[in-house]
Amino acid sequence: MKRSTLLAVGLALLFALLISGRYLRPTDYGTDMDLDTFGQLPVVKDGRVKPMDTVARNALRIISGKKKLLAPLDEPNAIQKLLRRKHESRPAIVWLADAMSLSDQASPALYHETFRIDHPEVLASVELEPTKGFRYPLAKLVVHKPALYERAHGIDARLDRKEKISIFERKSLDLANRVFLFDQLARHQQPLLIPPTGPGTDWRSLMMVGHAGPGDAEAIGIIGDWQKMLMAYGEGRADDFNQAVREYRDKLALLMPREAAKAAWEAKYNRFEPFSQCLFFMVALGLLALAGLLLKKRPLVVAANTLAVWSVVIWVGALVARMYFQDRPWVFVTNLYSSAVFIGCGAVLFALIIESIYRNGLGTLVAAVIGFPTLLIADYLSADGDTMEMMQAVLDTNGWLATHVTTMAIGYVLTFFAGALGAIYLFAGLFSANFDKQNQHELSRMIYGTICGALLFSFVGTVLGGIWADQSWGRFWGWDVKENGALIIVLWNVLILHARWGGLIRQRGIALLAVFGNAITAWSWFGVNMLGVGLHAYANASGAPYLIAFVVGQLLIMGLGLVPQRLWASQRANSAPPPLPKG
Amino acid sequence: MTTTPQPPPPVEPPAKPQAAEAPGDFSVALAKAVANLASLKLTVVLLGMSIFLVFVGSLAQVHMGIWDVLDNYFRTWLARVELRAFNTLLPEGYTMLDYVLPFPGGKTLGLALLVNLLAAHATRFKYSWRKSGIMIIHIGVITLLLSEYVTAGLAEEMQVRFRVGQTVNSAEDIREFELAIIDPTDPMQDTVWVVPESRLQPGRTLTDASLPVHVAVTKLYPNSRLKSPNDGSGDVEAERVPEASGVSSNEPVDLASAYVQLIDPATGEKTPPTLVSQWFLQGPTVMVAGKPYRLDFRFKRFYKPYLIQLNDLKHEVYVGTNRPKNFQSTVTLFNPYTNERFTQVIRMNEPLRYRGETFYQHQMTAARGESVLQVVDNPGWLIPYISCSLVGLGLIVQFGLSLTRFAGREAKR
Repeated sequence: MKRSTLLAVGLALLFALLISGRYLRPTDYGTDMDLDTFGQLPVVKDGRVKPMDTVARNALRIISGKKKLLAPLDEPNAIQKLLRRKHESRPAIVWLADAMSLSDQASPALYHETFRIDHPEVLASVELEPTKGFRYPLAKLVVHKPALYERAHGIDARLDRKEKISIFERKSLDLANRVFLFDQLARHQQPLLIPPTGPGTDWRSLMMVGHAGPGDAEAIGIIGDWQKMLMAYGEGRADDFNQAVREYRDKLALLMPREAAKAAWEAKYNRFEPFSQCLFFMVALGLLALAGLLLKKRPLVVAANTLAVWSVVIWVGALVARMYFQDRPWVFVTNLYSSAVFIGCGAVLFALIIESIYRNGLGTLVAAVIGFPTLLIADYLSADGDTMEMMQAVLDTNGWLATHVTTMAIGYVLTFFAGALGAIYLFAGLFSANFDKQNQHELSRMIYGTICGALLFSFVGTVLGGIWADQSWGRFWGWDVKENGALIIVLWNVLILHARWGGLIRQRGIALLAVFGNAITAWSWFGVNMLGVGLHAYANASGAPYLIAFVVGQLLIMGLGLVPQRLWASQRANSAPPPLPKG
Repeated sequence: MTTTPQPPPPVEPPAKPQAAEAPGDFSVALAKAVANLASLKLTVVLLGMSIFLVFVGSLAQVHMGIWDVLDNYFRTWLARVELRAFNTLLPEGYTMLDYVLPFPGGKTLGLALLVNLLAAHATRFKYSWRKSGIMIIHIGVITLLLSEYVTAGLAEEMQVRFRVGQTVNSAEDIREFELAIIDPTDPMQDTVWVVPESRLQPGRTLTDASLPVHVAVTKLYPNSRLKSPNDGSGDVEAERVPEASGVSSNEPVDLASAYVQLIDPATGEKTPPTLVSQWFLQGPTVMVAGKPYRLDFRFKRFYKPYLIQLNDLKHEVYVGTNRPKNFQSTVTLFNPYTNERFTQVIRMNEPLRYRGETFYQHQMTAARGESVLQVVDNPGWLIPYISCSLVGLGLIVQFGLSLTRFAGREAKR
């Protein structure tokens, strides 16, 4: 290996270690309370056993739109003074512990600025002025709660009658729901805190145990444990809190060793934030690969590849961890969020394979071009709450989830991959004089091969879906919108191949059509779900503007690609000297 | 997974027979026509049109029930593309003009693709190992296309709706209604005549020799509701409401009503118009020539040669939520002709297959102890399995061959 290559690998690894290492450091909770252990305690929300930490993160994200709590800074240090920071971020579990130990008017939970209200009419309806950040403490909303709930009831009733509601009404309903969520947490109705204590019992809330009456001594003992923890926390007695939390943790480890261990791991997984790390690495390696390609510096590409390998390891590890948390071996995709993280991971993996064959840096560039947006999409989707939700009865079959859904998602990966390569072909052809005949030929072959693979996987995936539908609904093909979306991807790939074989298109044509494949795949992935009809209607339409922007973007790229080829930088450069074969 | 084969050299347009020089020769003209039919250009155009049709057929489902979409776009020769289907894609407040454009329907495009494919194999294809994958793929595609015609033509979808403890010997098609004319005079058994939906047309009188009476339909509402006019009479009237025509679990079902007159074939005497409706649990009884006839307006009914009983049902949700975790019905099936009797659990993804029919868990109202099974009788259900296996196999063979060639070349480099 050349010294420059070694150096590039070494520096990239060092960089990666520094970044990932940051996520392994102990968390600063800003208190002596052992919130680490508290965050690992298993509870049930939305039907799944999960750690308190997950409940905290999801609930805070829903209420404030942020993953962390912004606490006012009392004594800023020198750097914070320099940056004029007025807030510092605290983990969500701090907020949840405050909320659950809310006892009187002075409780900090009432004063955290968490409720995001950005609609002017909604703000006016609760007598608030717009402020920077649009986040308000519950204390300012309390008096308006009855009116808020009453209005929400009316809106709910109208929704039941399938009437249209205005944006103001939607936002009011949303605010009422978030206040209600806080109420449920503060009153210990959600999550379910009391584990099953014997045969015939399931997870229960404190109140449910109360209704059951005396007799279940163990459950009543656990209520006592929770009271001890929350009172100690509320009164600021750190030693008592820590002791109570650890005792309860040990009790659960005996009562339900598997769930307790799993919840503890999930809390650690949350803290590691694998997808945030990957998002960062995607930016870094994308820039490196692009610089390497433009400057023709191979070591930069090598460094990018090193980062790609590093992020794939984290990424795949995170996907496997999610399978373990959900008890679904080999099921990568259960909802739109998981499809996004899977598609990103698939694209980076495929990019590495391509890169190992062609060694030209193009694959790595595509890894970033697909990996980065899919992670952004995933982050956007996670704002709705738990990303590991329980599955509706009809979808709850690991076999089909593992085969049909995964194959379909690989089909998406490859179609997007071909599309990204197509876009690179068009951009490079238009703007780069270095893009010679040999490069064009090679890239075109990559696109062609990827389309073949995309066809194979999208076809097999569609068929597996048909078989599943035949097994559960009694028909192989029902012209459901999601089925149609999959069919369109298959037909589009078939169309490209036949147009190529018929000589109707050549290198540029195949690149142009591959780019449109992006639009088609995005439609099948998200668009059909937004229609709100059919058997796969599991997404709301709030992302519609982004989808439209994406499709328009693809059309613009195609429009660029249609610029007459005699104006292309690559053509003008290559018409003069014959290209030298790369050695 | 690294399918990166070399694109084969573009196939030259099909060798045109030397037709141009001898116009008028019928066989040459025919050969030319077949060559055109076999062209890849035609394939690409047809594929593009199919994509458009499937796309519009998805959009249309926003304002149309799935069965109407099937009739209007896919299972038809001529599709009527409604421009308002595109409204979904437009920003709020904008709408397309309410025009309808004719477009080749699913049946036409499927047939055209079929012809195109067969013509290609008849004229253009040279059989070789290198093309074996493509051959297998195409055979699979042909059978797949045919299977959709079979499903469209032969498949029946019915429902069995029953409560715990109830035994039934029939299933219903909730997309169609029928008028049952029942003579209850014999205390041991009823005599039933059934008039199907297609024969019931407003303004028409049905005079069929096999019926005991003639039936005149004065009004017919495919979807309706009942109301009582506030005149103190206690009567009910039917009025028309827009059709929903969906079958998915959350879409309402159409309930039809009609006003009919029975006519004594001997005397021509007419009874006054009588309201019959699917809303009624039991239809009204009308006297004709001294004989009572009960008029039941009901979903199209299929009688079965066996009995099926609902023993038990279960509806489980995830703890602390309303999200369904499991629906299941335990049924006992008894066939008096063969003396078969067995009990089976039907749940999501685990249907019961019996004599070419498949029973699926469809809906459940646990509070009322009611379960709905979807019953599908599709003689062609196996075809897609076979054809898809063929296409899958062909794709693997074809891309596998390309991949080995590619790998061989790379190894040489």
